[in-house]
Formats: sequence, structure tokens, C-alpha cells
Amino acid sequence: MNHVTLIFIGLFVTFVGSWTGMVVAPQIQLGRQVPTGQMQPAERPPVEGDPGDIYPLARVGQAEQGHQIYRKEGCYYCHSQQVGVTQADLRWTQDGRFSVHRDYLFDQPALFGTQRLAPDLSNVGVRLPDAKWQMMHLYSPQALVEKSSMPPYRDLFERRKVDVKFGPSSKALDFSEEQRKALRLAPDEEVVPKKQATELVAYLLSLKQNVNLFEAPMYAPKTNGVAGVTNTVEAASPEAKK
Amino acid sequence: MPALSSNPTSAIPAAESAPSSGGDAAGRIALLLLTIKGLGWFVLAGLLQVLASVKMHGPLFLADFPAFSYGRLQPAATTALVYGFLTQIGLAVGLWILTRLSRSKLALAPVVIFATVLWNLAVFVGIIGILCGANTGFPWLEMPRQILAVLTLLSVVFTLSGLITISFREERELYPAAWFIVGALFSLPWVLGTATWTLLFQTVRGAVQLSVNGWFIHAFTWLWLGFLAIGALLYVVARVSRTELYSRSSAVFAFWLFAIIAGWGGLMASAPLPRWIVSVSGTANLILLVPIALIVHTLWKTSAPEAADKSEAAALRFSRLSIQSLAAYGLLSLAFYAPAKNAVLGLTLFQPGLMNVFFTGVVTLALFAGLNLMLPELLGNKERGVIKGSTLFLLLLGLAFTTLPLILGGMKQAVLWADLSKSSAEVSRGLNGFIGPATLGYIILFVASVLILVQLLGSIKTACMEFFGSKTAPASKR
Amino acid sequence: MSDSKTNSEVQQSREPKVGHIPTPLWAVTLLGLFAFVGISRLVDSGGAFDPNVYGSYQDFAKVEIAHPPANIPPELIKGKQVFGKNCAACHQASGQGLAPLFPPLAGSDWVNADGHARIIRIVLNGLQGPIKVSGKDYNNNMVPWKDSLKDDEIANVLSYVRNTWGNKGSLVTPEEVKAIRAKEAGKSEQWTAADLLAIPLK
Repeated sequence: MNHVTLIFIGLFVTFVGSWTGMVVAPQIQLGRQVPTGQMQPAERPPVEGDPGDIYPLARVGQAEQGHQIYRKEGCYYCHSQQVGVTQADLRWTQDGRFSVHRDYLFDQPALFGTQRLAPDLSNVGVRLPDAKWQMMHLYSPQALVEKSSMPPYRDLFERRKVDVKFGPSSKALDFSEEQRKALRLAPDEEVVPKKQATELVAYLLSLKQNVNLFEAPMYAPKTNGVAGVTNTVEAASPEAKK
Repeated sequence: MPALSSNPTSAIPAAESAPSSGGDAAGRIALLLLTIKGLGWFVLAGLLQVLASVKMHGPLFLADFPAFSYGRLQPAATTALVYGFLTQIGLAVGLWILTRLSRSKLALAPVVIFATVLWNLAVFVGIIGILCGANTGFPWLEMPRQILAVLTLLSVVFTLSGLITISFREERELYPAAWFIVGALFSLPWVLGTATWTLLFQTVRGAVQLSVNGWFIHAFTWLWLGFLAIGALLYVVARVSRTELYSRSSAVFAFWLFAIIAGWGGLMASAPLPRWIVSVSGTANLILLVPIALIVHTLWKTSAPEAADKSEAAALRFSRLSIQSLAAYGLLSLAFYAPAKNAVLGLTLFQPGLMNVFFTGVVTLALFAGLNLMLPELLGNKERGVIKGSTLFLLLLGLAFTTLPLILGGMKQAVLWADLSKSSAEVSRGLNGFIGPATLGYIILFVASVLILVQLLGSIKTACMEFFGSKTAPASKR
Repeated sequence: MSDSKTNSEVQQSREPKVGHIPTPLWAVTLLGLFAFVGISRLVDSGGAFDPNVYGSYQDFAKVEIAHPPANIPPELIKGKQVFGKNCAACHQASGQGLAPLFPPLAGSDWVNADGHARIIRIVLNGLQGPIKVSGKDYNNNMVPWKDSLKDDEIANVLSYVRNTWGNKGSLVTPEEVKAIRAKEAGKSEQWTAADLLAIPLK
């Protein structure tokens, strides 16, 4: 046989092989797990606490917009969204569990991340549920976490003079005096989140993998003490910083 | 740039060009165009990578320009490197080797020129898209999906050109280098097209996206970039050593093992996928060591310690370092993908370090070895266009700085994350000592890329002037 | 001119050739070894290709152990398997049957009756002829299961049927099935509705 033809046919067969194994088979097995309301409960053994066909819940529109901003800004080049089973992974879950296929059903695209240069965000909505803290952290990470290597996303905020007539905006970020000084904010200046910042924070707060699933049960409560809560608390409370 | 390259090549006297090469005018322009554009992307990718790397320890640098945030620079740099630099240089060297082995000219050369121009335009638009926030969210497929579709179509042109070229050969039996290059040319449109289709057009859901993306990256790594590098090495090493290839059967056996295994590997042990998928991938990663070892063995046995011809010394040195990098890559990737109970290397700095071993150490050095034989022939003088040993030193320095600190840093990072008493800010601070040298390494690579591009443009200019000199005043030629 | 010509001739003859040393034995051995190690690892801990086995679990059984299904007796889980294999073809996975051929089990007055005497007999020997289920008439033929299903399988599947799709009833024990099987050992033909109604429920 002509060698080129042989290479063509051989490569085609091997290509179809790996394609079947790594793409088609997972899709056949997992593809039937479809979003809320369309899942067949009979597909999975009944388990107490498994929310069956109502997990995960679809994101509200604002959080879905935020998901797209997360993608645009490439947040996933530093922050992963996948919790494994090692000791190190306990850090990213609170009363948690490891991540499974079902957690990502609504993510299009699912942003698993390629690096963990910064904390994993799979459960950031559980670990750091304070929207105000999230806003301030996005505007100036260094003001809240000392020597943070996260870049500030000032672009998502508007820095402006306080309106003389109406006074400060109710949405303005609530920085302390020291923080204002460090950010060189004049007394008559305020920082107000744009639409994108609000959406991004809504998305971050929607990230919760804290539902007991059949294939991934929540860890028994005794692991909670180990679970790196120290780390999250330190970052979570603005008070601890002050 | 195209104008520069077209002048000297279009009318070099027939006797000057080796009859067996891709030596007609259109073929030369096509190969030179791919080379120049590819090296141009090398410079640009280096620049983007330097900026991204600086941002890792200086988050406030360029903070008010959203297009230059780390999350946009990093994918832009990778895309420029993979689709701009490695792919185009790989195409130039691969197609040229096919013309040599078939002793015919490059088929469809005008179409290849046209496709190259479009390819560069598409990659350029794609990278602007990434910087503007049109990132698709899938590693290595970050360019907007329309661009990826265009690239898939264009890749078919290169494949056809290569196939027609090799079909003009006189001997029926293919030299193993041609196996790998033809295999690579077949793989590119398939791998790129199906992954783009499954992830961005007919989208799959949930963690299956991770499986598809992993499949794509691993297949693209081995069946495209890896095959091109191995093809170039098989050709260059045997030719420069003036000897026959140590073992044909080893090379062909390794080819089939790569083809069968490569698509299955590449998923990290910690991926949120059912256990069997991850286990299958782990098994594939282990078996992949066999073809790597076979190829390294065959090439090493073939390679002479010193080049017979002084002008080819650099090519041999590039090749031998590339072979060593390939062996190192095999062993390091085994450590990377190994399942572990406590600290895992996946998602750490180990990964960019490992990719740098492959990109710079294996592929770039192998392709530069190929360029060192190709450019003198295309430019009509055996000293001309050769990438010098001094540049090799810079490349090696850059390689060392962009791999060793990241690999060590990745190990430290895995240990630090597993220590639950450390806060995440402490972990990040613990890595600064490793990221600094890597930045230095990227700067060195950037300088090397500029030097190489300037040297090449200079050589082309000389060839150009020589030609015009000979045309206007034939007597002054020698 | 002549220089460059010879040069190119030399170049042409310089295209590399291949040597014919066979693939070294160590490579084949290594391949066999790696394939063996890799595939045995896959068999040991690959989760038997089950999509529900993730992370640290070795196989599906370990996943199930991690979730003791608190409210659901194990009989029902086993009974569901039996039902899926043998009964769902006619009575449907939903237990709704297929009117007018196959009577429903969900909400059926026969299934939800207090005693187990009649339903055990139906499964053991089968049923033929007209029957009224939940007020509707059916006339078909159900095959006997006494040869293909064991006592505990019949008990489990009946327990499952009596406690699924809104049905609520006591569990059927293998002992009950055993007793009735012994009692009716001589009967080879299928039951009719009239015969069954003559038998007391308990």
C-alpha cells in the first residue's frame, strides 16, 4: 500500500479512537445530565439530600453576565474552579466536597482554570459572601490583602466627585480612612461600581458547590476543623485587616 | 516584509538553486514568508510574555489599561507563540523537508503564500480580539470561534500542498521524517476543526468541556507540534551526521505508538471528571514514555558528536539539545501527571515550566535546526541565514531561566498549598523568588528572538543586494 | 557555475537514508510493562467506567457505602433492580402499565391490598383471563415467575412495587413467599381473577 494512504487511514483510525474515548464516551455518559428540570431522576440512585433534578440552579441574569466578564478578563488564568481530593484541596471547601461534572452544567464555557496562582473560587460564594468586601477587593486588592499579587480592576468602577446636591451615592465603596489615604481618594471623591462590577460580584457570590450530591457527598463535619478555614477567615473579614 | 523577500528569490539564476529543493521562485517565497512571519510572531509572543510575566509580581504595572491585564496578556502570548510562531516555522521547515525528500518543488506554492497571508491576518485579529476581551475561555483555543474556523480551513491548504509535494517522490518508501511531517499535516485540520466544533459551535456541557479541551491540547501538542519537531530532527540529525538513520523500524513503531496514545493523555489526576476518564488518561501518559524513549534512542544513536561540515555545526548542536529536552520533557511530564495523595503538581507553576521545556527546548530548537539547513539553501549561500551558536547560548540561557525556577517553584507551591496553616497571601509571596528569574528568562528569550529576526532580515537583504548586483553588473559577481 | 552544480549534486546525494536495525527489545518490553501496569491500575481503580465514581472512590459500591440511603430500605433498592429487569417491559418503569393491555401497579387496588397472599401468588404462577384493576377491565396473560425468580427477589420486587409511585404498604418478606411457594407447589397453571378472589388476603 502507498505509505501516505497508510498514514492517512492509520491516523484516521487512531484519531477516531481517542476521539471516541475522550470526547464521545464522556458525552454519552455525562451528557444526559442536563440542567434543572430536564433531568431524569431514574438515572441516578436515590440518595437522601441529593437535590435530584434541581441542582444546579440556573444563574440569575446578572450573575450570568458576570460569568462572561470573568471569562473576558481571564480571571481563570490565576483562579481555578475545581476542587480535587487532596489535602491541599480542603482549603477551598467549607463543609465541602470535591467538584464533579454536575457542578458545571450551566457554565458555558466552564472556566476550570489552568493555574492556581491565587485561591480557588469554586466556593467563594460560601467562603466570602460579603458583597461589599468583594467590591472593594476588586477595586484595590492591595488595600484589603497586604501585598496581594492580584491586579486591581479599576476599570469596572467609576471614580468621581460626590454629587453636591444628592450627597454620596448609596453604592459608593465604603473604604476606611487609611484605605482612602492609601488610594489617594480626596474627601469629596467616591468610587462607585459600574454595571460590570456589580455583575461580576453577583457571579462570584453565586459560586457555591455546597450541595450534597450522590457522586460527591459533603465531607463529614469532623474535617471542617482541618479545612483551612483560617485562611478564608483571615481574608474574609475586613475587620481582621483593620 | 513580503516585498523584501520576494525580490531576491523571484529571479535567482536557475543554476544557483539546488534542483532538488523547493527552489522555484514561488516555493522560496512561500517558505521564506512563513519563516519571516513566524519569527516576527516569536518576537511579539516574547514581548507579550515578558509583559504578562512582569504583571505577575507587579500587579500595579499598567493597571489602568484593561487590555494589558494578566488574564488577557497570558492567553495572547500563548496564542502568538503556538499559532503564530511554532505553527508557521513548523510549516516552513516541514514543507521544505518534504520538498527535499521528494526532490520536487513545493506544490501549490502561490496558494500557500495566499494562505500564509490570511493565516497571519487571522491570528492577528484573533490576538487583538483576546486583548479586547473576546477570549473564548478554552485554553489554547482562546481566539474567537470564527477565527478558529478560518484557521482550520487554511490549514487544509497547507496539508494539501504537503501531500501533493510528497506524492511527486520517486521512491515508494517514505523516509521516517516524512511519516511524522505528513502525519502532522493530516492531524492539524482534524484536531483543530473537531475541537473548535465541539467546544465552540456544537457545544458540550459541564465537565465534558474539560475532557475535550484536554484531548485537544494533548493531541495538538504531540500530533502537530511534536510530530513536526520529531520530523525535523529525524531529517536534520541524519543529514548533518552524514549517516543513515539508526533504525527505521524504531521510528515507524514510535510513530504509530504516538498516533494511538497521544490523544488519550493529558488530563490532570485532579480533574473533576469521573475516575475512569482520569485513569485512562494516566495510563496513556505512562505508555507515552515508550515512543518518546524510542525516538530519543534512535536520534541519539544516529547523531554524530561533531558535524562534518563546520557550517552545519550549529544545526547539530540545536538538534542534540532538542533531543535532550525531549527526554527531559518525558520524565517531567510523568511527574506532572502522576496521581498523588497530598500535594499535586497540577495547577501549579510546574505546568508553565513543563510547557516551556516543550515549546522552547523541544520544538523551537528542533525547528531552528531545520531552519539552519533550509535558509542557506533558499538564500543561495551556505553561510547565509544560519542561526549562530552565540544565539543558541542566549536561547539556552532563556530556556534554563524559564524552566528550572518554574519547575522548582511549582513543587514548592504544591507543598505550600497543602500546608493548611499557610494563608493564600503567604503562598503567593512564597513564589515571588521563582517568578523573578522566569521573567528574566522571558526577557532573554525576547532578546534572542529579536536578534534572530534581525539576522535573518539582514541575510535576506544581503542576498537581495548580491542578486541585484549580479544582475546590473554581472562581472562584479565574484 | 560548475562549482555550484557539483555542490547541488552533492546535496542531492546527501538526503538521508534509513538503517535497518530492528526495534530494540527493551522498547517492546517497556511497552508491555507499562501497558500492564497502566491497565491493571485502570482495572483496579478505574471505577469500572461508571460515571458516578469520582475522586477518591475506587468503585461504585464504595460510593454507595458513602451514602447510606437513610430512608430507603435496602430491599427497595434491590427490588428496583429486579423490577427494571423483569417487570418494567409491561408494567413500565413508571408503574402506570399500558392501558388497555397491561394493568397499572401505581395506585392499584390489588397491589395496595392489606395482605400479601394474592400478589405473591400472581407473581409465582402468573395470571390469565379478565381482571378488574382500579375499576378498569383488563384481559391478558402474565407469565409465571416461580422458576426464574428466587424467594427474596420476589419479596424485594413486591416490596418495591408496594412502596413506589405513591403506593404505601408493608414490606413482603422472603419467608411469606417461601410459605406460599410450598403451599402451591402442586399448582402448575396460571391463576384467574376469580380463583384469587376466593383466597383470603391474609
